[in-house]
Amino acid sequence: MTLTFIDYAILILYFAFVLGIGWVLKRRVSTSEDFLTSGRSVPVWITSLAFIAANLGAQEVIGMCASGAKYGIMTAHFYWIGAIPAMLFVGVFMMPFYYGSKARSVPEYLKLRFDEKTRAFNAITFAAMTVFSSGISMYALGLLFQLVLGWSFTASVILSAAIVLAYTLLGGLTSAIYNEVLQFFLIVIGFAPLAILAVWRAGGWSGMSSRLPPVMTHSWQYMGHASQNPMGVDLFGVIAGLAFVLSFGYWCTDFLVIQRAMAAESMSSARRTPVIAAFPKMFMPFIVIIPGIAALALSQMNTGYTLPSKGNGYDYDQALTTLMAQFYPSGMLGVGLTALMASFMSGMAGNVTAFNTVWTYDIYQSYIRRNASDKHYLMVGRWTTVIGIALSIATAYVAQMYNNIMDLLQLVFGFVNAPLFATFLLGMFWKRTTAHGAFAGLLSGTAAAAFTHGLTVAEGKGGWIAALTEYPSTMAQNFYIAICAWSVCFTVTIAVSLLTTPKRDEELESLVYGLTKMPSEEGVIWYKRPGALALVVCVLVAILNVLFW
Amino acid sequence: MLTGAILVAAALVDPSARAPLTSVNVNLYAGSVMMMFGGILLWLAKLNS
Repeated sequence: MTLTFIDYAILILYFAFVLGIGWVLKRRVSTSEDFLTSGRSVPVWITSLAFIAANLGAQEVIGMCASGAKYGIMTAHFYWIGAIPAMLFVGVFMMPFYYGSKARSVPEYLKLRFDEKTRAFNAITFAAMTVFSSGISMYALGLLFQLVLGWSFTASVILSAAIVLAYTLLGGLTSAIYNEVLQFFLIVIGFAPLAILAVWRAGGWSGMSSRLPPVMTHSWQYMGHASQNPMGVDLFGVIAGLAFVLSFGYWCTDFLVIQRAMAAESMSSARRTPVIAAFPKMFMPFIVIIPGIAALALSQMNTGYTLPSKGNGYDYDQALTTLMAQFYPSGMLGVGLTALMASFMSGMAGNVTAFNTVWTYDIYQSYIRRNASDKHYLMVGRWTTVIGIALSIATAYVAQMYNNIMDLLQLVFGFVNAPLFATFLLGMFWKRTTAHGAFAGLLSGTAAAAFTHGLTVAEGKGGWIAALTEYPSTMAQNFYIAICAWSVCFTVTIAVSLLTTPKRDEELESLVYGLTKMPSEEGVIWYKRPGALALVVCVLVAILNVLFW
Repeated sequence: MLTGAILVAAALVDPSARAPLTSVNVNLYAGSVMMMFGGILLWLAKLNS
């Protein structure tokens, strides 16, 4: 793929805008709260778009297109049941505790609800995960631009890191959030035309359906047994593993996304953030997944286009970039590549800003230097941004040495997020949950995840203790690891809690259901009520599931 | 809006520019939509200020 002057002009325009946003917002930063939490001043439509943009990294954009080509419309489960229900739940039921507790981060909530050791466990695992994830984003960006454009891996990594560093150092979390909104629109305008053109060329949905096996164009019909679908998952695995544990584990507890909602200007805005975000989120499959299905259909037609080969099959990861080369002339190609760059950078910046807040408040301020001046913590926040980016670059180079680093990242998410959701569920809705119970549950849930991985095999991965069971796919294995981790954490937390002393009710106000005054929606117009909006989302998502049954 | 303007300009300068699998002037249509969308956002921002 060769870029022309117009394509580079669009890329440079984008860089100028993101740096400009950072520069303009610099004047709003005078305290550590401004830098690390946006001072809780961001309007709801901004936080809503940032909420999904922070998650919409290029791994998702490229990965979902690849999955669309490989698994078909079943991939939409990652959105319609694997994201939307959890987003609605966190907005309607959990945000009153996150926002109302005045905690500055998710680990800080755990400290208020439980104790320091629970906070420390989450802070350390989360900090490591964010640096790892940011580094993987850089690695994937470097690899992609090297493969597609022939750019040097180092140049791609350093350039993107430098831009992200500049705008997050200048404007902190606020800059990252506003840039995520820009990046969201860029991703939509960069890839929506591709979806339209590819589907149109493939003969529309009916044309694609006539050319592909029925399992590729039905999302639920072939879920009865793992052998019926290319994903290798069954109904229980998808519902319990993906829709419940992994989905809620991520959207309800991962500080990367929760931080965006907590930056909102009011409780009502914070609650509506994930609910409003659910509206564009439910339509993202049409932009990221459908082109992948179209790519497969086009490969069956006599168009001259075919997915690149890899081994005995296709190299699905190249579906998106090869489609861009076929449907985008110079100009729009620049927009598409800028959108890819933007999606990588939103993922990187999101992870770095989340790392920044957790390091500064939950690790540095809590354990290294307490009671310093706010000016000192602002300086620490800025330096942490630099160090976070540097660690991410280092991780990107380490990732080059392994060929399955992304599988490892998915596994880590399962290990960390799955048991954490059980902890939060019990912590927020059952006042009897104790600090010792929560900590024991987290440790045992994480251990259960490790043991499940060690005792099961999928696609040659896992089974490092013994191979007791084999799953048809790593996806199915991840789902069941998550189910085991969550179940063990849930059970152990309850058991240990019943044997230990809980906090007094006065200490749990604003932290637990039943001891917290829930926000009243009386007299509020329907579209400003999180519950009413959530109902509309549920109806729309149900319709989508039926349409693509 | 600026991106849309660049695309529309590119489409007008080279109206025959096409990608391999499409006969449509993608730059013109996509650029026009982007300019309209950008215009709407600017108008909304002006209404709110």
